[in-house]
Amino acid sequence: MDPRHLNRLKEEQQKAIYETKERIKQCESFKSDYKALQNRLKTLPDSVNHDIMVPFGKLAFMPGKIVHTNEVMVLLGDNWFAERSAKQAAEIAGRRMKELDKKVKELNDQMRLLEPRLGFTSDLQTELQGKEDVREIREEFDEEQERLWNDRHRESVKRQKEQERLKAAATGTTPMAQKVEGSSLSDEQLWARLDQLERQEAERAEMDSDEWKEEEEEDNSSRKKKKNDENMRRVSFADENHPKTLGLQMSQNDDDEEEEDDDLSEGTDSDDDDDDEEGSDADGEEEDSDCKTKRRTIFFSHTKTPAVSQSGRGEAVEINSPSDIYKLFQPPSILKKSPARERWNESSGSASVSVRGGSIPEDSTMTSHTVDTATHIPSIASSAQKAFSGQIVERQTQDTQHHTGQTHGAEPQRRVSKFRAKRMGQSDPS
Amino acid sequence: MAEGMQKRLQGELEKFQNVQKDVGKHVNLRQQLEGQLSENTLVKEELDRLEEGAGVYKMIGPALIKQDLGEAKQTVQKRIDYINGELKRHENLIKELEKKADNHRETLNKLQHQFQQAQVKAAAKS
Repeated sequence: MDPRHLNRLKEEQQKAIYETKERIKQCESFKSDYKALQNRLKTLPDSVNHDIMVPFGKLAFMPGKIVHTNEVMVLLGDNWFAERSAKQAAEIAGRRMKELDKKVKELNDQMRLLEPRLGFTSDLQTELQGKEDVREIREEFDEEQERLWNDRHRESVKRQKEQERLKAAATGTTPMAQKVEGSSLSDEQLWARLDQLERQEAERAEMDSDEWKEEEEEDNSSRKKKKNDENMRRVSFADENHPKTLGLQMSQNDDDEEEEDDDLSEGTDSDDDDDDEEGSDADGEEEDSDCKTKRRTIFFSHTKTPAVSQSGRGEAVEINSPSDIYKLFQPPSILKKSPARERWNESSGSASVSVRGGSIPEDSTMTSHTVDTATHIPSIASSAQKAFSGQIVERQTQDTQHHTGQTHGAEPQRRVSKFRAKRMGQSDPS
Repeated sequence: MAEGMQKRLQGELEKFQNVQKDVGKHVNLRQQLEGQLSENTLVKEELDRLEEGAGVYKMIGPALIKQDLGEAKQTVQKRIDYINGELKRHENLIKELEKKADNHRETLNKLQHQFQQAQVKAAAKS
């Protein structure tokens, strides 16, 4: 801030304040004039004649008389005059005074605006001069310099990380301890780490649900270890040239002994593939591709968990798609247990189950069919439990629908709505 | 080369100053008009308060000439309308002139810039 500029600013502000003050003064004088006029007008009609000294030109007076004491010619403005009585003229004067009052108020408001401005400039000035305790800190901002600094900073951070990693490799301390050392994590990485941990929490919560309890008991130990190792994940991609940001770990580990993974920014990516925390299968997924030479690879390994079922069959362990996984390992269904489904699952065996969306065949002849192998829709027997069977059924046919291949009594007790019960009661009083 | 630049600079500067003068003139006129407008509005108000038959006089030169109240009111109203029209016209003029002034200012700046650069180069060469 140039002190000369400040001075100039101060001058202008002071001028503005001075002008406003002048205008206020003028208005006040007008007001007092009008007041005097009003008084005079009040006294004028007191008598019929007044003896006065009449002004003659610029420099002379002459004694004379005011005769029409009540007749006053009022200048309205713009060369217009109006003849009014003294009282009316007094009223006009009063109105003009009110206008002036308004003007004075406006000017005062203006003053209130201008004065603080002057105060600020003065304060700024004193600050600059350093007379007070307040000091101004100035830093030159040069874009070029900033950019250079940023690059250098990034490089030095990378170097630091490298060093730490090497140190970790050399000493082989526990991951947790090293985590503490890794205080060179940048903000981004911290957030990524937090996200990762959150996801792990969620997964752990999922795992705690009923369906997984058995498996958890089985490989509790391995899972515990796994939980410990969740901090470091290794994911390997079929495409080894998959670029990863921020230099990943390249050392490979067949055992579950994991090393620290400093660069957690890829944690977000690797976690997307970590859904197989669900212990289904280890042999399928473990691709220990040998990529020691390639820098950017993530390796992914599981603890060996016993395959759930039939993988010992003569089927090829070839897995090309998620459906293959399903076929091979058949994880417990995530769908709600319902009698229909259970029946269906039993009868369908190990065939691949593909459910044909929501399309349900119209003809009711399907009701008696049992399930074939492979891809066939379950019988309409379950229509009683479905919300809408796709056909409009008369009441009478309710019976036929119930007596299908499966026995109705074999069905476990199922909650039936009152209305259905009533209907059923009406048609079949049992 | 430098002289040419200088001449151009001078020319631009003059044009710019002319435009600025015009702007200033019109602003003054406008202010005057505004004052007249407020005055005439006051007159109109007072005339409205006058009862019928009261004497209204117009000062023409050194003499006061009696006017009819209705006529006076109409005249004043017409004057007010006229002043409003003039005011708007002047405002438009002012806006245009200001735009022109801005353009001139920009060209002036550019020329100045170039001029300075040329000078620097010349100084570097010699």
